[in-house]
Amino acid sequence: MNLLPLLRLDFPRAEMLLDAGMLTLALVPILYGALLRPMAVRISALTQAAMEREKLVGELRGALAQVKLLSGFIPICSSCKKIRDDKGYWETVEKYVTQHSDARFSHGLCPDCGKKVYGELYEREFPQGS
Amino acid sequence: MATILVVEDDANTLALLNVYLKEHGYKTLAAADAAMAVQQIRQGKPDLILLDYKMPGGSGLTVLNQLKSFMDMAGTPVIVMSGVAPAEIMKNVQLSPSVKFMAKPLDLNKLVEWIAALLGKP
Repeated sequence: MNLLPLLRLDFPRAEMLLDAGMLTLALVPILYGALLRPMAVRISALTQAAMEREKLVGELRGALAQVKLLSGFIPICSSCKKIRDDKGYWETVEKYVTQHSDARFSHGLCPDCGKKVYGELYEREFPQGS
Repeated sequence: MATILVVEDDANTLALLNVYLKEHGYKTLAAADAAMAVQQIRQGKPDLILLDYKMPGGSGLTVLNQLKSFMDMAGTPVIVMSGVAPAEIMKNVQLSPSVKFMAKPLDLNKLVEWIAALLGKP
């Protein structure tokens, strides 16, 4: 049932209001397409970038917390080569470095010590040193 | 002739031990890491293992634990070798008449004595 004739009779301004309303409704898709949608897409992209940046910062903070750095002057015994830690205890080089870095040790022998420890056997097997 | 598996990541020490043990009448097998050691234990069935404790990519402890899981090899004598302080080794390795510890650098004379005692003369 068409109510417009009734509206025209009872409410002279109703037609104008309806026309204005229809115009507004007609503009919505245009406004959405031209302004709102690009803005929504832009906001979504910015939010995504911000989230990725936060994630990266979190990962970098985690990595930084795991990095142990040896720096500055390290007091070392000139005779036995033990190192004094920040509590005043003298530790072997292996223990100190292991505690203060991610490095690990595997024990071998340098040529000088190889000759000293294994003598003729070492010199026979490694005549050039090692 | 008894077979000794030498597990050592330092190439020079591995070569020296191989030569030294052969000169003392033992057959040798060599492994440069824990994975290779486990493979050699399975395939070569050594009579004794010289086992470096600290190696990259799997410690001597890994090898010891694997050894225990092999029914026919679980009782194989092992001499654990390391430059690490004995106290630290003993935190993780339970020494016994068949699992001994020798500090690095190795005393080769003592080593052959221990091997002979664990195996009997070759």
